[in-house]
Amino acid sequence: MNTPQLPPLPKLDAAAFRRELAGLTDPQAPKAMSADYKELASEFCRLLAKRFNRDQLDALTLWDRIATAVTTACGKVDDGDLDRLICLALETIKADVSLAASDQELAYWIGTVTERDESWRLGFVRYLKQHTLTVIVHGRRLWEITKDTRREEREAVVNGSN
Amino acid sequence: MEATKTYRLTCLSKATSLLTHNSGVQGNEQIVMREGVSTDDGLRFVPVLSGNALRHRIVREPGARYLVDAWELRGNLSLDQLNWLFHGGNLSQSTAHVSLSRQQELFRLFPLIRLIGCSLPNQIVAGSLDCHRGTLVCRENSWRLKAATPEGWQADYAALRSAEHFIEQYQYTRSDARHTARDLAPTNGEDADSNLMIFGGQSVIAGAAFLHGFLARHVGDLELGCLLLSLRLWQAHGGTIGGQASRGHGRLATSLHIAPDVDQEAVIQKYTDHVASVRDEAVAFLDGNFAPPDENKKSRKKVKA
Repeated sequence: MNTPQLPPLPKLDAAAFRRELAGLTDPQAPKAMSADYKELASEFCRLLAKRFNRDQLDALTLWDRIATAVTTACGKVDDGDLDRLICLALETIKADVSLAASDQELAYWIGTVTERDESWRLGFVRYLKQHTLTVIVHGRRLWEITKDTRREEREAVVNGSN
Repeated sequence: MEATKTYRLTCLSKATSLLTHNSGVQGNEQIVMREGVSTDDGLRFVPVLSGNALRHRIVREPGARYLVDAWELRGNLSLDQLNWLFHGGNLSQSTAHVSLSRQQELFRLFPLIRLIGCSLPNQIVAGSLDCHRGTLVCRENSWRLKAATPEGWQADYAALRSAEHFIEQYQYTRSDARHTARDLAPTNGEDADSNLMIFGGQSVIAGAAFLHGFLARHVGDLELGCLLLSLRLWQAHGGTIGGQASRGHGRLATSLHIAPDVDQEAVIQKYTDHVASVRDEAVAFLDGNFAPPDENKKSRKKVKA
């Protein structure tokens, strides 16, 4: 009987093994990175709440809209292009261009995340995608703190003027 | 007596499509099969390919299918015979009987069974092939990868990505003919709940790699030839593992290392020649140990080797 004409399997040796593993490494992945992601992702949600266009959108849908903004933006960006991700998210919440452009906190946050290396940015998108709900929860907590601080500042101004 | 050796086969299989080797269903979501691994950071559960699945897909199924085709038995095997060849068989008789002569005969006629073992109706026969589980190439498994690879295969295991990097979600929708074939739907006003169903689950992403392998203990050229031929047949027919191959899941591209080195073509040729030469004896063994299908018994022709 003739042997079926089947090609041999590619040869695996130490060099081939090392080459394959090299494609599966992520030397920029320290263990502390997820804490970094969590903090910056939560801050992102807080900034989205800040820039949410309450004139055009129902304020009651604030966090639903932000969740949609994050999910949709992550679904569309798979190359770690955080500038595009931020842009898509701001568009979903109909952020006012002038207010967004003049927002120092937003500008600082964008500068912080977009200047990281590609591996970090890819990891950040992945983190956002996998932790959307908890990121929203943390973001909302930060937003409540912001509101309290603003309220206290307003009250201090009012009390000071009296 | 034929000279035997112990061979260690190391395989690296890279997923070329998403892979859904699942452990079960939670709600309507399928969950990737995982196993616990002790790491420096504590216990972690990482995706795994079961040795049972690998053994069946890589060795038993292609090996058995080859025998059926080579011996022209398609349509001529009873369910018991098919179950024995493709799934190892069952102890179905109340009294077990160990016959060494029958075992010798079985091993001579079926090197495949000598490799993977079986259960005859009244005798359990051990195999000589250890199949390893598929270990995901990830940071959590770094110490296991180091232990499972041949000596001298050093790599930067500590820099590997975490297992979670290799897990994604997939989702499909089973549609309803009332939406997709509206022109063909009955118009007699039948009311029924929609058949539309969304289902999904976890998958291991394309590009992930699994290290697995075999230890063939004290085997001859025939058994090794059988194993290598089965591996090649498995790869040639898609090389799939896990479920949903019909949707394109589970394709693996496998590379192979054998120690000690061997002339693969020679042992495969030796095995295929052997299979051809024992055809009638093997069929007689099958019929002697399992009742053949009555309607086919008479029509089975003897084939010249």
